[in-house]
Amino acid sequence: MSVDRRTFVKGLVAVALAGGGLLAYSPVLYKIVKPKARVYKHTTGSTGG
Amino acid sequence: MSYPSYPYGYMYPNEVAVGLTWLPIIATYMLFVSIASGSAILLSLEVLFNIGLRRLTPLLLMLSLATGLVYLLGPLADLRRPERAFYILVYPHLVPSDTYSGVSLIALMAGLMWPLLVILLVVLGYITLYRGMWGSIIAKILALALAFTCILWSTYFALLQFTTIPLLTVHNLTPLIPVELLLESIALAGSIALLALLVHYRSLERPIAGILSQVILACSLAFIAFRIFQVFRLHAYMTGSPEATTFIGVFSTLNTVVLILAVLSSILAAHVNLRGSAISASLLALLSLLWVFVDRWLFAVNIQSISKTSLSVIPVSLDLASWALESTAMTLLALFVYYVLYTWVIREPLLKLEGSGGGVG
Repeated sequence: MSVDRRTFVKGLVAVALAGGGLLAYSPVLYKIVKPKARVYKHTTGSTGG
Repeated sequence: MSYPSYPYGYMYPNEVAVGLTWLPIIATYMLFVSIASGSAILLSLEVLFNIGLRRLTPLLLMLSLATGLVYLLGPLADLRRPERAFYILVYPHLVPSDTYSGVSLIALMAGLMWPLLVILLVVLGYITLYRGMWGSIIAKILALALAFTCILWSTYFALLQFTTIPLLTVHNLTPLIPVELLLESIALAGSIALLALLVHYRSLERPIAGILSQVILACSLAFIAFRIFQVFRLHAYMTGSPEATTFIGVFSTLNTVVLILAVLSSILAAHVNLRGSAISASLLALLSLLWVFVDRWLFAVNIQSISKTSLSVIPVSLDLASWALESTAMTLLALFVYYVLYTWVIREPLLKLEGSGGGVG
């Protein structure tokens, strides 16, 4: 199956736009994929917390 | 009662620790909301009243869908725990309960109004562009529902402001923000549609450019009148209290820029109407984009930085690098959706046939 040049260029433009967008958005995506573990702070001070 | 005093004035201790509730990306988000809702309002007005923009409906639909499908990425980037955002779509708090009385505005907009906007756009686009049912009662009802949804979307930033910034609610300093937001949305969507026409055809079609520029001119002039009235009201009747002095100090500089940009936009809209100039139309799109963006920045960042005590301004350092990156991402993804719709789905930005019964491609 062959893809004509025009369709190939159109596909390339679409992939570039989506790829660029996702790349620029990757810091937020990273936070979603790897959320920070919740840190529970335990107070052990002399006041009894 | 006395407030704790800090080098910056009177404010609550947690305001020093937390800083701004919303990040600057909210300004970009509201800009996208304006384009999506404004173009959908123009689309529904065309279906309801046949205002002469029928040939432009595919382009308005593409603009609205492209921005509407990506704008929630803005508040997603603003969240501290974005991985939990999914729950607002699955379990939106829409019905008041004993534990949580009231309705969450954010849940209403994200969980109900956003899917409604997308579904209405797709269905209305299908039955008008592909089935040619322009005058049918179903199309009219859908257009009415879409107009209502988009009026709510375009003015919702004001509701968010009134619920989160007590200064605006308690002192009623800028009561006309909802109307201004609606006018800005329609003017911005119109000028972006003009720019898109130019990009697609390298020239302006006089009848369409004439109607669009009249709409932009009417909206920008009404916006200027409302804003000047509000400034007059602030200076004539609301001054004297320390709260109003803080507000005027934060509001005035950027508001002057907004007014200048709105005046320039209206002049350019008049020029496009008279001459059909392509250069003026491009400049108009740029200036109206700047006008609306600066206004969103003014309310989302500057006014938000007023302390809850209303007596001082919270010192904030903005993370502009993240804002620029996230805004670029939203723009590129909106362009991607627009490109996909233009290349493979709708294909023709302007309807070929005029009058009822016209279809795509």
